[in-house]
Amino acid sequence: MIVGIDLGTTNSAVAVFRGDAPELIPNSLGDTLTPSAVSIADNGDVLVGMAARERQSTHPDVTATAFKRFMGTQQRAKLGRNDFSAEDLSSLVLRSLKVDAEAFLGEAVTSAVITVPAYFNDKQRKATRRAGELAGLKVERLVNEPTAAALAYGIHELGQEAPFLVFDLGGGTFDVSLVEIFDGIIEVRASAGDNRLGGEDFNQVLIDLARERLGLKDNNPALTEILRAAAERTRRALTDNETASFEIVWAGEARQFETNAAEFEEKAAPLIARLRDPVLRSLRDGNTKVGDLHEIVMVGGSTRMPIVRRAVTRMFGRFPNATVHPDHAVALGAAIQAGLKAKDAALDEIRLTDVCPFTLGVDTSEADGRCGFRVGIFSPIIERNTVVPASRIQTFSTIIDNQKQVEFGIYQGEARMVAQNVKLGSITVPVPPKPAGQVGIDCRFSYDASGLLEVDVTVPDTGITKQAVIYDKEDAVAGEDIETRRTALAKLKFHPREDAENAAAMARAERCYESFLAERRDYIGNLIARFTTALESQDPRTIDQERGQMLQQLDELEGERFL
Amino acid sequence: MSPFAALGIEPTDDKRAIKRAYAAKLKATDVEADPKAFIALREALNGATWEADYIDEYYGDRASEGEAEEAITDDAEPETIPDVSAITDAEIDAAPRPAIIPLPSWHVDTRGLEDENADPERQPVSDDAGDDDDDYEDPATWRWEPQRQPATEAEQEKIITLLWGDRSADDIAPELAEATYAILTAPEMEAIDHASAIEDWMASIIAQAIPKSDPITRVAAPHFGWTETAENWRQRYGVSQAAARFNDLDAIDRLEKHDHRWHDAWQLLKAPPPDAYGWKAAGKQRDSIVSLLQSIRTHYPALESELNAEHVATWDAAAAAPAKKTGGWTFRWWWWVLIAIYAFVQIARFAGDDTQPPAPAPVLKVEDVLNRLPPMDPAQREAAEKQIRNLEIFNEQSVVPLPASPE
Repeated sequence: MIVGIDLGTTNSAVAVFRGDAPELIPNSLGDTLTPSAVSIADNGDVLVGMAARERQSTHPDVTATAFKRFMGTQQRAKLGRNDFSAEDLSSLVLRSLKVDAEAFLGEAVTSAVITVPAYFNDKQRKATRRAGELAGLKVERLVNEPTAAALAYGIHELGQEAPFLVFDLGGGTFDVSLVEIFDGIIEVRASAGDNRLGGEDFNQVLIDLARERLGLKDNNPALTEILRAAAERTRRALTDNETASFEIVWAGEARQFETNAAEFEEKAAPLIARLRDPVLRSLRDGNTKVGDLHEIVMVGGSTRMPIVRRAVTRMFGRFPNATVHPDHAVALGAAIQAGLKAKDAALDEIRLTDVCPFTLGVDTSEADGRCGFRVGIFSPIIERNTVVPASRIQTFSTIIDNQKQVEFGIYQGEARMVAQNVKLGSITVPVPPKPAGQVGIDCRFSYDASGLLEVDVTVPDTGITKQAVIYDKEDAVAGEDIETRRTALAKLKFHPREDAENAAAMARAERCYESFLAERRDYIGNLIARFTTALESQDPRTIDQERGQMLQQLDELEGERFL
Repeated sequence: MSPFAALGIEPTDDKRAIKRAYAAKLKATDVEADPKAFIALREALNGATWEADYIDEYYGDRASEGEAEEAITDDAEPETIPDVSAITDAEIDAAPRPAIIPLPSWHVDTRGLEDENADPERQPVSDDAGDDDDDYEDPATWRWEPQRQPATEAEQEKIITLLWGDRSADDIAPELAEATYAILTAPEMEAIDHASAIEDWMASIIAQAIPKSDPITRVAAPHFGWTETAENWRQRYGVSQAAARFNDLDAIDRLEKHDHRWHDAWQLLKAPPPDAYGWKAAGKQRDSIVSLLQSIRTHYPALESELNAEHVATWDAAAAAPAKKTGGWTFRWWWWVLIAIYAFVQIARFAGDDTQPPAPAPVLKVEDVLNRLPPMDPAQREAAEKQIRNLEIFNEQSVVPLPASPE
């Protein structure tokens, strides 16, 4: 069985294609969204999802969230005694989703289609694929998030011929894709994005505001997490209300201030401004005018923010479409892609083509006309928004007499100088000694349907071909044996799935305990004590009853929980 | 194989038919199993779409399907025209969803999204668009102007009139800045199509009217963030020029400040070459003039045009001939004194010491070589002798190549 997984910055979801339609799979709490959070419990168990999210502010030193932002980097999160990369943490979330899917489907889940932001670079994509492998899933395909959303939307709009635009603002990334449908072909014409712009940045705006208003200067990680949780809550409140109160308890003291939508909009203006450039770029690259667009499809939880909806309405001069569920569309699209991959009969007349949103090329030198060379000039091989899979060859030559070898630096980006682009790796090939310019070297870039790059370099004179891309030293971990890490991760003890609801409820109660003072704190303490007693009784009925009661009380105290 | 043959259809200019054929072929292809087939199919689609525009040139009158009814029509007229700037935030938030409001006025027929490869001939060329080559002959008034926007038509017209008018650059600067500011702060700039069209328009107008367009550049370049994207390998017409000009203006501003270390050099080079007395004063600036010229040529090549060409040429000549005046190496009488002192010291060193200077290496005499030549007939010997005498290496102990002895 192939499942479709939306591995998000804030929340993840898993869906499956069966019976002619994609279907979301609920997790052990019955939710369709699983927070992308990992925490280590006091007894060393690994908690994933809601329970871990609730521990973010109470146990910041053993909890990790928003780790998708560090995908493909060397940054590691230290949780208690363990040390995790973003890949490891993602693999723990994927593993939890896999277990949920297996419980729901009643069969083993061995492979998956995983979504990534369209603007994820090659390193980030490869890291995501490794995360899937670490979780014991064969990654059949990586799909761009806006493309998945376009599939989920387009599958119902096959008769519509005008292009539409997918505007995907998630927790940590922003993507725009211009999509066209004809004769059952869903074709992405252009994608652009910003892989460092999302809901988390809007939270940061509120955190900065809170630090200023409340005069909180210290950089304590626990305080940061408390502020982050409060910012998320305030931002959500501002989605429905004009004013909201930012409340925290820090150092045994309740602090709060009132903010309103206008102030938030003013402070977030620089972020809103950053939404324009990718939109403009995708329209220009797709050679399309706003007037030609049939719909603006909004996906990603952050598109619920009124300030984003306003900016989009003004940009396009029309109201965006809201028929797709902003949190579910990507996972459903991934499930459709999984159905396509499994050659599901219901999808026989549907095909999807996607593009590579970056320009890829190599580092070259050119004569400067004064007997010297300008080095580090970017020479593009695959231009951005080329339909994938794609394969392009370009021939280069030596620049010095009797040159012994040629090194190709492989870069991604739009700048003319490679120094401003992202280096993906390098490849060195020996060449026969000849006068400058007389040795040709063919450099071929192949981009597969998952957006993964392969480079091979051939010297026709000698027939030598080099294929492996040698990663930089900082990427040494990429070469680390995936098996050893898988066994290391397998040693972790996971919190039992059947106890997930209790763990989440307890974590929430503990968070509430710390975020209230005086009588209300005592009251919550009381609830926790009763729930603990119920847990010790080990009687499922008592536990369910007590948990239900406690959650109801907490809802009354702090409002409904949210994902 | 022609792209049409690869798609399995007759050559046609009907792009919809091309897409239909592509879709049918794509469904028969397993992309993941056979990416090469997909790449070939995709190339066929691109080729056919491109050839469709020139169908008569490629295939004669074979294709006569008539005009393609494309799915995406460029000139779809909106039915009603709402005023978007009047929508309040509350209305946006409360609006029923989904809803499509018809296109606003400023969306009509924008050409701003053409990429840089777009054929300039298709764009209106000057005020008198429609006239053909007759207009072309006057390069002073000729310009390439992208489509103006209805909302800011008046300001755009004003900018064109000012830039291509007779008034001096200083005279028009305030009005230019004002008009530019008015365009950039218009509420319509929030709409992406309008903003994009204005960006293209400004970049191309600036590029064609440097330096008169400087007041526009100063406002527009930071507004559109051109300096950050100018170094991209693929850039739209005018943007690189406008961004480079903005950087140049920044450099000029800094050089014009009195406390800049090259300020004096800059002022000097802007003026015509000085008289003899002036040269003497200028000589003191030699180092900063050389550095300034070098910096300008490396980083701001266009700035050289701001300098006095004759003056710069004189400096270049002076730099090429370092022994002449203008602060170069001038031979002074007191150099003789230094040389004399040096010679005296050397003589004193050898005189007060028993050590001899090292003996010269033994010299290889040409006669020695000639004597060692093997017996050969006179004609050959004469040739060899001549060859050996011509060699100039006899004061070195190297091996002299001898002619091969005859068998």
